Amino acid sequence: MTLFNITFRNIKRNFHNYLIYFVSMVFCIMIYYTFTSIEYNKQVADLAAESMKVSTAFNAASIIIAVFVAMFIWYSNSFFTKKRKKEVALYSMLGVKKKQIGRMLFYENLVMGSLALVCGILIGTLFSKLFVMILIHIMSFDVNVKFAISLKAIISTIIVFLVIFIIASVHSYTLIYRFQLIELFKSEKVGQKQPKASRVLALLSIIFMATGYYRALTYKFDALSELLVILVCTVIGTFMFFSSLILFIIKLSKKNKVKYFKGLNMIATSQLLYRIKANGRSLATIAVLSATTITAMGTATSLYYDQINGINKLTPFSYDYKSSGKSLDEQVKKIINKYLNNKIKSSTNSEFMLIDSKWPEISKMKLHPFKDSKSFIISESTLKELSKARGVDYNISLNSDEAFFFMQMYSDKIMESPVGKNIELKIKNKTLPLKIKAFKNGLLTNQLSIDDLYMQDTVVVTDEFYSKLYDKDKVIKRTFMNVENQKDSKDLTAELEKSLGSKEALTSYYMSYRNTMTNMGIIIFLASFIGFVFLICTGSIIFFKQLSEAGEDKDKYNILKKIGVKKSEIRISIAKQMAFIFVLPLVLGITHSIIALTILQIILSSSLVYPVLITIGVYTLIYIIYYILTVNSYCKIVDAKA
Amino acid sequence: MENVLVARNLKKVYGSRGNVYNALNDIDLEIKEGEFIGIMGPSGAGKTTLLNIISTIDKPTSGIVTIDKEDLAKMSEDNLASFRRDKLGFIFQDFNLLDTLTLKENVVLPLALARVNIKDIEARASIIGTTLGIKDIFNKYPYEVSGGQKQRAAAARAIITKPKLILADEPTGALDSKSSTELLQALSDLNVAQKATIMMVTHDAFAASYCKRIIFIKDGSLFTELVKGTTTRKEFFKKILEVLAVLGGNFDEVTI
Repeated sequence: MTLFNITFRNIKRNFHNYLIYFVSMVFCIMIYYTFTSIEYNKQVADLAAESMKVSTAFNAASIIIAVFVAMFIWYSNSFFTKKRKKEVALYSMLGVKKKQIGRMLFYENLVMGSLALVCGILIGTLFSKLFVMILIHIMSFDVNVKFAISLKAIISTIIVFLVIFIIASVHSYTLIYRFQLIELFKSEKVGQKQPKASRVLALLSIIFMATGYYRALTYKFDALSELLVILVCTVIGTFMFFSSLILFIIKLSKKNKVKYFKGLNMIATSQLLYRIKANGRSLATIAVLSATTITAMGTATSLYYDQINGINKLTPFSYDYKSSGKSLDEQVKKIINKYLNNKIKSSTNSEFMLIDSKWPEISKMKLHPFKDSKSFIISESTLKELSKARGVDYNISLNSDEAFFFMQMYSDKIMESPVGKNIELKIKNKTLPLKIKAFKNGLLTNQLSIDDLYMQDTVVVTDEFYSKLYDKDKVIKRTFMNVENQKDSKDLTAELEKSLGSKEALTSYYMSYRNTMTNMGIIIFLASFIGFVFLICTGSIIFFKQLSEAGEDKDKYNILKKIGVKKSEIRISIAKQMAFIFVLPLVLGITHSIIALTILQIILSSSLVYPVLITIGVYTLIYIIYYILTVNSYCKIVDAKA
Repeated sequence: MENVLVARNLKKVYGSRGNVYNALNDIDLEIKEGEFIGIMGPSGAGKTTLLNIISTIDKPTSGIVTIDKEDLAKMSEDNLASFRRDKLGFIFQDFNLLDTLTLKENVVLPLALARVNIKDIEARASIIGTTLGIKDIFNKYPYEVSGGQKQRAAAARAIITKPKLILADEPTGALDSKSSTELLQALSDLNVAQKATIMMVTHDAFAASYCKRIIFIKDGSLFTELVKGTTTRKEFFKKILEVLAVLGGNFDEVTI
């Protein structure tokens, strides 16, 4: 019987022990392979060619995943190796050299890893078409996805994971070497002392977290270093929470004797104390990781919604181009008329003037002091034409020293209302102030960009004031058009782009829509999958740890059964304890991320509530699945299954 | 005197087809209220098997066991659990105290499980703690006290629910001679003063000498029985040793 034979037998016998570990590994490999194959997928690259570089984004994501998975495999591996101390001790006592034992475990790891690789890549190939379809759909393309197997991706996956497995296997080999024979036989617990909970640390944890939260909620965007302080405070507070505060609270609960001495509460409470003390650091890490993941996924989802909602605001007209006379307009209309699906709804020629200006002081925070800038000026008559073409009604009557102010971006959380303040226009060495009578959040037209300057505002003045300002060097003429079914105008837009040169600088709703959907689609796809991987790995870690403790607690529960505890009572007690272990990091992670996302909410205009709730919901759901799995397996191990 | 335990024709068979092993063969046993019974026999005789069946942890292959007039075979697993909690008390060889609880919490655990109210719990704990001399170490953890103290705590846990039958499995197995004596004396006092019914499985003749009646088992069958009667403990001890000598030796050499 060779070492290899023993290896195979071990794996077969231990298989259901390692099932979750194996499944997590397969999952991670599958995700990594999927990402790399998308990275090398020609179809996706072609579709997204105009916008963000798909391959770079996916490359970065696959690196993050690889790093995280490497850590997870390393951790699980050491964990399982330590669990098999007794088995190793037996081999050692029978005279098997440590070198041989180490080699056997090394082979085991390699075999399992290779199996996982094969499964992961196979499943990945099957599912990669599905994932590409999801990505394409999120990006709002309507394309038939071809089935493709990327050899480059397979090779990349194999190399990366083989390296990871070899390193992890070598690590467990060294662990075996360091085991002393005597400690392998000693009982796991040598009368562990009662977990102490320091009142001071418990209080400190509250102070740290409260400080972090308070500073986050009152963040004034003045210094980036402030964010670091918030982060550090919260993280320290979290670690202290698990090492002291929660223990303190549980110990306090003991004082309620009526509750404490009821049923299995005594046991559950004391078990919980030991468990949290032992797992404190892991739980805190998981809480922080969960907070990071939820924040990242929440941000991605929120950005997605925000940007999509914002496209209409940023590009209210289907098309705009630089006017150069009737013949150009006729040419454009002729092209559009070819497309029966995109009939012209409205069209207007407008005149702007680009003039040096100084905005009023409206920043509530020390974001960027409003330097001298350039403003786009139009007359009241132009306003009326544009409003009609756009299908909105801006009813305003201005005095000669007043202005109607359109702002590209406005947030009442970081800006004061500009109404009543002055905007100064600089013409021919004179500075003319105008009082802002009213303002609108959002531009009147598509955002123009002239010589790398992006339109931040549109200032409406009276016709007389406009003629007073008139300077033909500063004039910009643009034609704005609205067509039907602008979301579905791919061919029309393509033809318009072809026939109009770069001089005309055509802007189209369709292109903005396309780019946004593509970019946001990629971001949300990546964030979701990375978040998923994190979630699976952290869930698995809690699962492993609890199950190893189940093995140690088996005797305890046998005693209980002997002195007359029902199996159902044991199951309830276990479920309660596990609930604590799972809920605590999750709740902390959620509250941390909610606070972090409030900072984000200040910057974004649309409400984050909906997308964040979805993110938290999905996260919690998967956590609950892990919880149920853990409780069931635990009960099976201590033989309290129904 | 009522019968606390009645066992008739107890058989326990392990294995199947060709590999059958008779652990218990037609055991009949009766224990009356207030008795202190010892079960003795060499290793592998079937003492632990018998104990497991009586403590409802295991089921016999055939035969009847009734405790406090209730037929064990007719009870569901949940009912058996309640039965164990309310009617039986256990003392194990390796104490089997929960190391995450104080001695006091260990002792009152059965009462907590039975959802007795806190005042009664405190009261009973106090009495029993004094009886067994462990009241002043009540707030210590098992790893902080000696083996003898742990076993007395286990004994306290066994009797706190005032069970019909106390089952002790090699209770002095892990104790030094002084602690053994203290424990056995405590059990004996419980039996005399509080009329506790105790069945103790042991292969230690010294421990057995504290019993009032001893049943010897060999190879799954009843071998013989000794009653203390009016003999002193020392004389009883000698008698036990004689029987054990026969048990261990050849059957033909016995002169009856």
